[in-house]
Amino acid sequence: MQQQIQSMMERALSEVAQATDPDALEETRIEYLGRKGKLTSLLRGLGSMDAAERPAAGQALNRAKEAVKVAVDERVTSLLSAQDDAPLTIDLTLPGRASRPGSLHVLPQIIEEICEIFHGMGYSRAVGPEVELDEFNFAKLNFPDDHPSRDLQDTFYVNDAVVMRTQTSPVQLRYMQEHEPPLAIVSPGRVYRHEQIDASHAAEFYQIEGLFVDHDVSLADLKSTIHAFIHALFGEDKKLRFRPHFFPFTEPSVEVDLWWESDRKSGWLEIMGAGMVHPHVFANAGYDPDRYTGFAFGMGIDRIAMVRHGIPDIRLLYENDLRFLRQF
Amino acid sequence: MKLSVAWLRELVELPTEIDAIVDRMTMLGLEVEDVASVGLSYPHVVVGHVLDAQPHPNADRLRVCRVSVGDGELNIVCGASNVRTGLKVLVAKPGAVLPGDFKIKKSKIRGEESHGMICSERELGLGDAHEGILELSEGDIGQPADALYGFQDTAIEIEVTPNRPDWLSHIGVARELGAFYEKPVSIPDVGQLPAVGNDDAGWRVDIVDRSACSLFTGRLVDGLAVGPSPLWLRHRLLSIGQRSINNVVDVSNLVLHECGQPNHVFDRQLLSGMEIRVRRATEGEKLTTLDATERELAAEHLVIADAEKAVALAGIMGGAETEVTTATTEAFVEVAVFDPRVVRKGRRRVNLVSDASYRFERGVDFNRVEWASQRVAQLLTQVAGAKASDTVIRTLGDAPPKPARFFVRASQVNRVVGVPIPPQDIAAMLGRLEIPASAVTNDGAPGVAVEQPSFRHDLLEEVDAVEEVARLYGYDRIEVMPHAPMVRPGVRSDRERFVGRVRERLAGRGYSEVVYTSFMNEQDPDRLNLPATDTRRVTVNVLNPLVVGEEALRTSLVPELLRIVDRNRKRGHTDPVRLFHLGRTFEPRAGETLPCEVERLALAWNGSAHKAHFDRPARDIDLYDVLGETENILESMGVDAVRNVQGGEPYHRNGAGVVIESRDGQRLGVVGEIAPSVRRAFDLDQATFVAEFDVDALVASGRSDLGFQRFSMYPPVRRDLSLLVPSAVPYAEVVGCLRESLDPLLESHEVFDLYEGEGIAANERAIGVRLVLRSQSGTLKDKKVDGMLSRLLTTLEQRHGARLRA
Repeated sequence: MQQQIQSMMERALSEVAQATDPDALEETRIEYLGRKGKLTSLLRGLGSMDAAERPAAGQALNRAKEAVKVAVDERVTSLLSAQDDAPLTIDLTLPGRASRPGSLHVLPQIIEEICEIFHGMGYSRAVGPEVELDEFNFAKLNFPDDHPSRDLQDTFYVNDAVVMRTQTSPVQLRYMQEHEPPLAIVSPGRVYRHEQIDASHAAEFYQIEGLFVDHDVSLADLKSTIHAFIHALFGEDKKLRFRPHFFPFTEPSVEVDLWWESDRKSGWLEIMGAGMVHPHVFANAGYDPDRYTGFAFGMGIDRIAMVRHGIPDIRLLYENDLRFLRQF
Repeated sequence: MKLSVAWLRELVELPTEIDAIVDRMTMLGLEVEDVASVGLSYPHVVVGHVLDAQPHPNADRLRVCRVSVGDGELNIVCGASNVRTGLKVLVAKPGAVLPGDFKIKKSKIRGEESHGMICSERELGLGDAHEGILELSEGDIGQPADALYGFQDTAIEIEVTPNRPDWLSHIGVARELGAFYEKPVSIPDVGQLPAVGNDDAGWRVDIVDRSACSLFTGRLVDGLAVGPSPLWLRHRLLSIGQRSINNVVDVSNLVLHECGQPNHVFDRQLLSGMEIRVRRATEGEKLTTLDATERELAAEHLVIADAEKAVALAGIMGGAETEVTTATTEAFVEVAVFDPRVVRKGRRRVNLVSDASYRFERGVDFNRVEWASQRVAQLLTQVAGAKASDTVIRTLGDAPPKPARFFVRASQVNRVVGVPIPPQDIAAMLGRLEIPASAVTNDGAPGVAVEQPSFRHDLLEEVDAVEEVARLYGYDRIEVMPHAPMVRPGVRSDRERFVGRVRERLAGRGYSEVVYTSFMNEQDPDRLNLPATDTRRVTVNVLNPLVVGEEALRTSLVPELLRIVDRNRKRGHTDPVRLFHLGRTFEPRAGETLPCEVERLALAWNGSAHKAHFDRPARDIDLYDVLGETENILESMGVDAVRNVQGGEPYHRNGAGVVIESRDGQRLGVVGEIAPSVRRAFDLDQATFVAEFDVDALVASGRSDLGFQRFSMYPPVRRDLSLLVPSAVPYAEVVGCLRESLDPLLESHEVFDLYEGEGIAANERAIGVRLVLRSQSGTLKDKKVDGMLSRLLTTLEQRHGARLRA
């Protein structure tokens, strides 16, 4: 019996040693150690042996099983490790399989960025119609009827009383008519000017308007707000200049210049208009100009996009060539 | 408008550095557009003496001259008829470069050597005279021309905002700079103003339309010798980019740019009668203006007329017939104030902007009129040998302007500027701008009493003066605070959140955002195949489109989106095209002044379903890709959308469009394939798909409460059913049965196989459906599932004649 066990173990160990793949090894394992395996069957034969011989034979059998099991495990590990280490022979330089990512248009991107900055400064977004009453686009914003200040903005007319808004400023009025101060809003949107289109002029483009109204708001508040905003958008190191200007709906009015340095040109760049809300505009919105003061500001999104990204021609923004769109 | 720095310096003391002046102007609100060196300089041009002038041996019209130029003699061939021995002339020597980059070199003209050129006025850029060479009365032989004719100046071009017409003159700008630098402005002395009368030597003025002209003055000037202007006058006008015409016109022009007051000089002998009438034009009346254009006038035009006819468009342009010419000896000098609105209407009607109309429209200085009249007379006397009459004919219209008087609260200045400035300082600042102001107390409030000066049409109330104080104080001196003011945290609307998220998601899925025009082409509704009754044919139109045929605001985002697809294809884009656009459409509303503006989301697909790869060839995109994409996106946005196949758009391919609705039947949008005929109308040669949604409808049907949904921890049971279903039964009906029989255990179902053809009856199709079932309350037992599936099959059989495929 002992001999039988010994020779079977040796056979098993030799088969294990010769196995070349884990599947064959598994078969060998089952052949000897499985429920109906050769070694396992010997164990069943123990019952018919002499009681005196049984313990020794049992021990030998267990030792043999253990030895085969260890050999199998070791062989599996060594075979797997050889298999795991086998190099994969594919061309690693072939292109991957992927769909191209899309892109967000640079104009709405900048609008979102600006709104996000102002959101952090306590501003909420307001919207208004693009087809607007002349009254809201001009008259109530303190553009006198038939006055040269109307020449500042060439207008598309729908009829005598209705225009394509030339600025986002009418949203100020509409918002104030429905809300009480204190308030802080930004209003991005599309505006229309009856202008011949060229590299720097579009007839449809984007503006963003801001309005802040409370008791005792001053020019110092305006300057502080613009500084905080420009620094957030363009960087803390940016220099600004505030110079007097004229807008019918603000007084005092300012124009804000940004010191811009690029490979092509360095200098002051007109970036936005702003000012203290004109008392007439407050009155037209139903506010008491003696109770409230406030400031408003507005800027062209297209211009900011062009400056920031070095886009040479405004028409590129509206052509929607995918080679352009995917750059931003 | 261009300003001459030399001229400004005569009026007020200024820093030496041009940059300093420009910076200061900028910071005072005078927007500087351009700064340029101007002048005339003639290196290698000297005074010469014609020693003799012999006929050219080979040319009748030419002469060969010997000219002394101080350091020698030059042989010069000259074609001017007035060249003769003994003349003092200007000689451009070889090496000289005349205006227009005209280089003077040694040359041979018809066989005769010529070592330079004898110059005419025009060749020197001095004026228009080119009939002959310039004959000098002054200058020494050999003296450089620069000493006689050269000048150097700097021209600053400014853009003046409509509120400050007083800046449209050198005196006005000098006043502003003087106020800042605290230097006095020296306005030219015109001596004692002459007596004022109702008539002069029988000439009288009648203002017929008294509301359109508040003041009219006439001055009779005799003994004029019309001719070239003296050099100083020409230089002055050259500096500001104005052409010299003759001494009389130049004086008129100079005075306009000096004080901002337009004026006009008539040849008095060409006026009929001795009466000037300021009246409205009669309908159809004709007038040829100085620019040689005959204009037909209307009743809204104000004219200056003599006894018979209109002789000038008041405030806009003089008439050609009564223009000053070299023959003129007697003049009528008009200086007046016309109503800004009348001038504006008139010039718009004739579509003509002149220096005069530009100033009248914005407002001139009523109190400067007589000074200007006297200034014209003074200069005509000086440069044209004239003698002005002792009287000014002066006629007033209605309502001479009354200055506004108002009180400025010191507290308001502090409140708006954010800097406390004492009343005395406020008054002093305004005083420097020649605004009468004095510190006073009003109802116990300290402040400043202000009176509007006649040249400041923008100073009418407190806020206007506050701006002046802020401006003079300096915007740059207002301190920036460490914190910007804030009222409360900003809030975001549902739409804002939705739009923000959908944009990010679309870009992440491979869509490129496009931005395009709000207008559409008038043929777009036809191109989209819209029936005559379609509401999208009813548009909001602008009266003055940039392009004829593009007056309508878009009622659909689709047409331009298709053009963008086409453009990219034409430009050689080969990858799949996936685009989206967020924008408004405009729909007129009955009974409303303003249209309804609907925020929409449009998507477009064209080309292959994915980029080609070596083991996965490209496949054309089809409707199932598009439907799947759309539904996926909507689902990710929390929109529970269903298809309504009984819909689609007129521009959809027959049978290839669906309406997307919310569960409760609210229309959200449409998805479909573009019909071949529509595709051809947009020049697209590949299958193209579009979707268009109403953003607010999407927002409304999106899940706003993001409440947690419980999910089961028990294992799922998967079952595949292979069904034979009559072809006429849409899959949605099968799904209806699945839901009915298996809810709430049905977790998902998908079609893993779809087959029609051999082995299957012609009117049937095989649908392989993979079901996933799961219970919230325990592990599903096979027996239970079998029971449910058998009930499902019974239902499918009874309702639709479907059965399990053997």
